[in-house]
Amino acid sequence: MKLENGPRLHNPWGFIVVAVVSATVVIAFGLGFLLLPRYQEPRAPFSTKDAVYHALGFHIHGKAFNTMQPPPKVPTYIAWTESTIRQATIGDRKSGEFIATNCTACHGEKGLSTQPWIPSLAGLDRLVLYKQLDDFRSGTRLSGPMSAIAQSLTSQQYADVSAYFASLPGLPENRGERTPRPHSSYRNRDPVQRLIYAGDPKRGIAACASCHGPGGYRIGAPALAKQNELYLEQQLQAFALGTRANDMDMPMRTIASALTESEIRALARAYANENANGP
Amino acid sequence: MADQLNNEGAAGLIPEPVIVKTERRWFLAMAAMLGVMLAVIVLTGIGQMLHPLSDVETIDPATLHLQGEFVESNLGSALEPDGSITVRIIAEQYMFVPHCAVVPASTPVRFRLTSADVTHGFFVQSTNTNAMVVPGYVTNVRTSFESPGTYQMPCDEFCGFGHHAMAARVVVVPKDQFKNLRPDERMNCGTQ
Ligand code: HEC
Ligand code: HEC
Ligand SMILES: [Cu+2]
Repeated sequence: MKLENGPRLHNPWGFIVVAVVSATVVIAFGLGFLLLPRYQEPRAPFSTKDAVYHALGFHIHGKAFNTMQPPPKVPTYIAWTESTIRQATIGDRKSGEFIATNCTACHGEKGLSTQPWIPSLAGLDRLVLYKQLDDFRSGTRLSGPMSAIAQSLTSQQYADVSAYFASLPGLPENRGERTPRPHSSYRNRDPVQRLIYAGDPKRGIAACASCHGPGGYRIGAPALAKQNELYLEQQLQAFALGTRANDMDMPMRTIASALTESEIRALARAYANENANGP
Repeated sequence: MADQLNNEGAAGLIPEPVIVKTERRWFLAMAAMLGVMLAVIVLTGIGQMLHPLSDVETIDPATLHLQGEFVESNLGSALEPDGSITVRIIAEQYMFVPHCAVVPASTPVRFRLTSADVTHGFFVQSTNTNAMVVPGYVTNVRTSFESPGTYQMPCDEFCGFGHHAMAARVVVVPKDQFKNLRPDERMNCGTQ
């Protein structure tokens, strides 16, 4: 068989296609792996090897940064990892009821406080109670009586007493009931209702309800409805001044410092007088 | 027999050279359309300096406040040794922290963002920035601002109940009015 007579060898297309495809691949690799990575990171003069690594997605320009950090400030030692959430929710209600006899003098019989500056605990989320107790112990949330009390208890006892207070009827537990409320929009005429349900995008204030409910839920955000008015007002002021700074990733300090004095008072009043279905 | 008749009939109606010519014309029209669309993509990409993020940097979203570069004392604008600015911001439901950043004009600015919960969007008005902020990853975006002013920075990725109110600002000040930060100093609108 004479090869020169084979029909394929006379057809140039096979060669052309292979040549075009390989040229495209070579040019694309040159652009994508060698040229563009250098152009994209002008501050880190790359070696060829680094440029290829960078294009492959490995993080290599870390050294170009100013690595001097201010001394870290830790808002809370709680992180919502699976193990923390498990630890905070395995509490035993029965032992919690026994521990709670130490609390009723201030937080009220059945967790409903009668003193305006002391919060009610009945019905608060277990994760909220656990986190606040841990913060009182570590000193990231400052309070005269509570730090001493929290230091006298173990983490297991936090979980137990949290299970007990969470099971009591009182504040509506914030489970993030997902139904939107009627009239919860910018069209609501009452500015406080607007803040609670719609927020204020111009000032970057998210709706309180999107984290505290009703309607929305964010892990660790306490229910506010029916809480004591003075307590709510003091906490908002403390967040605004930074004297309370235990909110993880700073949502409350950011929001409270954008609110005016009169808005803080009005919000506290609206939440304190709220019924279970919302203000 | 019937097929043959049909073929002959069709060939009789439209002569083959005409069919070939029409096909070639439509082929060219389609190729031109494709070419225009590809050119639009490539040219806007180059013209507005849009490019995908090229790094994969991972981070644990649950422990941002405990360690690493997104602890709260390290957020905000930092001055790099080469005079450029790095701004670190956390995107979380439903806000950016800090929610007002300060940077100098006509200076390379690098935004580094990460999310504490769900996917958010990062976009600064009238710049070439537009990226997703995905939990577990660091979004690293470079840009610069030519004229001083206040730029809106809304979250442009639906992130839940409070998304509509999730908006931050970037305040660009003239270069000579920007504070000369110490290497371990961080700044935002509140600390200015
Ligand atoms: C001496 C009075 C007193 C006693 C006893 C007391 N507390 Fe408190 N507790 C307070 C005060 C006052 C506050 C509000 C602190 C503040 O203003 O920052 C508070 C706050 C709290 C909070 C934070 C609630 C929130 O919504 O953030 C929790 C949780 C709590 N206490 C749990 C307990 C538990 C559990 C016990 C019993 C083991 C207990 N407390 C005993 C006075 C007391
Ligand atoms: C982005 C979510 C978010 C939004 C929006 C938000 N909060 Fe909070 N808030 C939290 C979290 C989380 C905490 C718990 C902080 C901590 O871990 O100590 C909190 C705590 C509070 C507390 C302290 C409650 C207690 O029992 O100690 C008050 C009061 C409060 N928020 C009021 C408000 C008001 C009023 C608004 C609307 C203007 C609002 N919050 C909007 C997330 C939010
Ligand atoms: Cu968002």
